[in-house]
Amino acid sequence: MGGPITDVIHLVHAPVGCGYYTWGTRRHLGDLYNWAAPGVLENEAHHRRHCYTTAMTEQDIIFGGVEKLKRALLEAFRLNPGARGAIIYNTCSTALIGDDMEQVAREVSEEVGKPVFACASPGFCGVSQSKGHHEFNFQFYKWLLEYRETHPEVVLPEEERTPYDVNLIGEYNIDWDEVVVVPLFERLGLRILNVFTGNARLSRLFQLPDAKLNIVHCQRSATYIAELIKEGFEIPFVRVSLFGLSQTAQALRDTAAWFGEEEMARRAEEIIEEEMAAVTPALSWYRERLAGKRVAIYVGAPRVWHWIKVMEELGMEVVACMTTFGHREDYEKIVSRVKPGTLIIDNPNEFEIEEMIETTRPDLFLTGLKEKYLVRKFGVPTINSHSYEKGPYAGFRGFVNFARDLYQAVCAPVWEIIKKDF
Amino acid sequence: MINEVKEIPVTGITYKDLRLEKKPLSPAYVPPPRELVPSAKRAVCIDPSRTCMPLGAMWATLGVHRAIPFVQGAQGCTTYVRYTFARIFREPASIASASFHEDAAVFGGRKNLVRGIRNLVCRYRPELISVVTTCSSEVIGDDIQSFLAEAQELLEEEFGPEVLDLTRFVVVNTPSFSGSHVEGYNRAAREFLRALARKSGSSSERVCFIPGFMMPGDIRELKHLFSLMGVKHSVLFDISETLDAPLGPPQSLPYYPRGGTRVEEFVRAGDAQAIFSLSPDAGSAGAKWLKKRYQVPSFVLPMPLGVGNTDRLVKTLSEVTGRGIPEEVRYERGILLDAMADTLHYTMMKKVALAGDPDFVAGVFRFVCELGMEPTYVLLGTKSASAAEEIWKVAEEYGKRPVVMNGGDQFEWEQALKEDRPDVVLGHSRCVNIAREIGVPLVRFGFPVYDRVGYQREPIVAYRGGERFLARLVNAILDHHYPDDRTHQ
Repeated sequence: MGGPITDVIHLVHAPVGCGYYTWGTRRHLGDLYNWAAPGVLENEAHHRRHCYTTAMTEQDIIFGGVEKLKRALLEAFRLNPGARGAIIYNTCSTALIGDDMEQVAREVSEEVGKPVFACASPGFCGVSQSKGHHEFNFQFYKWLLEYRETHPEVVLPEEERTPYDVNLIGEYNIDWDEVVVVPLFERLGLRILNVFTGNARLSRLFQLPDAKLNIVHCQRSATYIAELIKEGFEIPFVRVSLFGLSQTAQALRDTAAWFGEEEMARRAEEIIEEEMAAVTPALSWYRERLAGKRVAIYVGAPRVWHWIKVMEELGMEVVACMTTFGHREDYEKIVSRVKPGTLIIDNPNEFEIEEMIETTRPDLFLTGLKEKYLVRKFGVPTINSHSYEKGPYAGFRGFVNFARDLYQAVCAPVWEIIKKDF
Repeated sequence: MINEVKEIPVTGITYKDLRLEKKPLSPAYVPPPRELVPSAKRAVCIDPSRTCMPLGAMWATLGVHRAIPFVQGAQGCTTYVRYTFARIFREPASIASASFHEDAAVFGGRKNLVRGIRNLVCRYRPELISVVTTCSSEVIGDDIQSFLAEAQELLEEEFGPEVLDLTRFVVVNTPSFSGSHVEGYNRAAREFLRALARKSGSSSERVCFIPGFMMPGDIRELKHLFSLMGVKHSVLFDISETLDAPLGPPQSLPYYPRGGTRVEEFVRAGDAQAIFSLSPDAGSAGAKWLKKRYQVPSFVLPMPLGVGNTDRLVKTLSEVTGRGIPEEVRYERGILLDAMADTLHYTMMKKVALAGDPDFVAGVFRFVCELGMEPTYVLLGTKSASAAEEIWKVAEEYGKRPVVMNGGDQFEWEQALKEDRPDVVLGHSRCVNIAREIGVPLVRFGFPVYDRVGYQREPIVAYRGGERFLARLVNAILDHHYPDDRTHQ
């Protein structure tokens, strides 16, 4: 969850692999760049252009890595003078040896005069990455409050606040979803103070509690912080889904309704009408070709229940649902949205996925990178539903991209060719 | 209208729409402090050209028929390696995880291993399981051997003694803080042979090969060469048909690809006529162990990239097996030489920077010297004395004076490239940014290459692979350095 924050150094305090795998894994990144050379901006956005790690060795593990971490962080700041701060993460090994990261963060922060957030994230914590999301919310919020107290200058001054300041929470800018999503809310007349954490700036994130409303998209990974802000600052939040036509329309209506202004409600209807008119011709073309197809969904958690409706909007039938890290409430929502008889599996392994394919015989499987090649062997097309094939997929116009990728997957001639004898 | 083209529905957000304005983080370029450029002088590692040790052991295991790595650690240790394999091969790779949680960190991973192995055997019926350790299990100090004995006892109790004939076990200790993925593969090579290889007494004409991190296409090319030479061979850790499999419904569940080295081939390695490690840093430990234990003649050769390195393999193989070098092999060699002669005006005197795993870089280093290129900055992502030695030997032979960054990180290599721009970069997919920023072409090779389609199937080793690799290199130079030449005559 820290990864999409663009203006900081992300330093992984661990043996080399833990940092290595966080690097170069996303297709589209932020819009903030560093200089590669005089007059030349770096090729890849600042926050994932470089990978910083302490690359712990055996000696470091035996004698402790605190000093190395401190030196490494100070060096990283010197090599990257534009960075507005840093986030340091520990992993299994550095957590087990008990390196005091928070102390290092405090010391370095004082020395360089920039914020440093220490995020404890050992891999063995919790059942899955869901615990990591949870922890980031809590730890970050706690740190943010402390920082606001000691550095009152980061708080948004009263005179700069507007009644229409909102945060978009749980939106990670996957394949630049923000290009679609942010303008929708801006056209309502809102000012997006922060996106937590897609293409975010740490310097702005301090102002999370200065908004009037939080709009929560991913309701598994980020409702926590919305609830904390609500508790601490009495800032309410609305839950929205920004996938598909009816859900995106509902999101705009719900947001406008919260403000209770007729003018905004009218604007919401205008936006919906205009966007619907723009996407309907393409979507009906795709719907004609996708209607009746059977689809299985296996993604993080909320996307499963967000997407059931989306698939139905294209006339497709959901035959199986699985999540990696869904909690009880996610499953309750899934169950309430699917037809009776739909197969639902919690955190399936590959064998269970294979059995699901054999028993439900879907025409399409929405899944992640690791599983997509396995299921293709069974003659079932798949789509990378974590980082998309060719996104963005969110919002009205993103939905056209989504429908196009679904169509390309399902209707590619190769699936017919492999069925024929030769 | 002559042709009526079918109307294609509008796209929502086009790729072009995503070309947003880049916002600079700071007003101007600030050169890095000089003293912080060399990686040896820094505590922070920036842009490592190496990854974790368990990856190497998992890679090796996936080259074995119906084998599954069981990773004794937290889920991420498995997940991220699977992502990496999925990116490189665009193929499924089944890897099991002990799924460490807080209780394992506190009480140790005994329960995780015992129950995990039981589930894996009972569901997947693998012929081999490699237990791959991780940072966490090594820091905790898990006694893998005793856990494994307990797991086997339980299996026997539940399913009867026959179950023990079904699956073989190999333990590979891979704490990532002690080495990179290259060392992980090297250790796996030794542990597989130590656990499985036996000497029956009846000698065999078979020659064993350990390929290291070669791609499926490379391994196929080697097999082609061995067949031409009439050498009976076993490629150990043969990923050519496990991580490159045809589309089509599996014959049975769970999915296993048809290929991979059979366990039996490892067992018979003790009788082999010889064993070759074709990737000195990734695999030689296996070859050396086999020699020590069963006196199997072992040969550690540079990766067969280019003419000289392939010649060494062919000659050594011919001496060991007593078979001559067939005309067909000479013919393929001649084609490579022909291609070199036809392209020398494009390769001679071109400055080239190299980066990657030591075995790949050392092998390619000789090849670029043979092409008359000028190697400038050579980054060995994993520190290797033998690769550096080989590079210096070749440099002397060809009168080159490269800068070798042994075990350095890509940041220091990049800074050097920015100050002294090469004409072409030879490296892996993580070199894309630097190549674009300095405006020179990148020709991809080594580990990892994931941003090209078909790379894994196109060989770069042996004579024919060398010719293909040369063509790719020269075409990149043609496009970039001579864009207006339409004839290249």
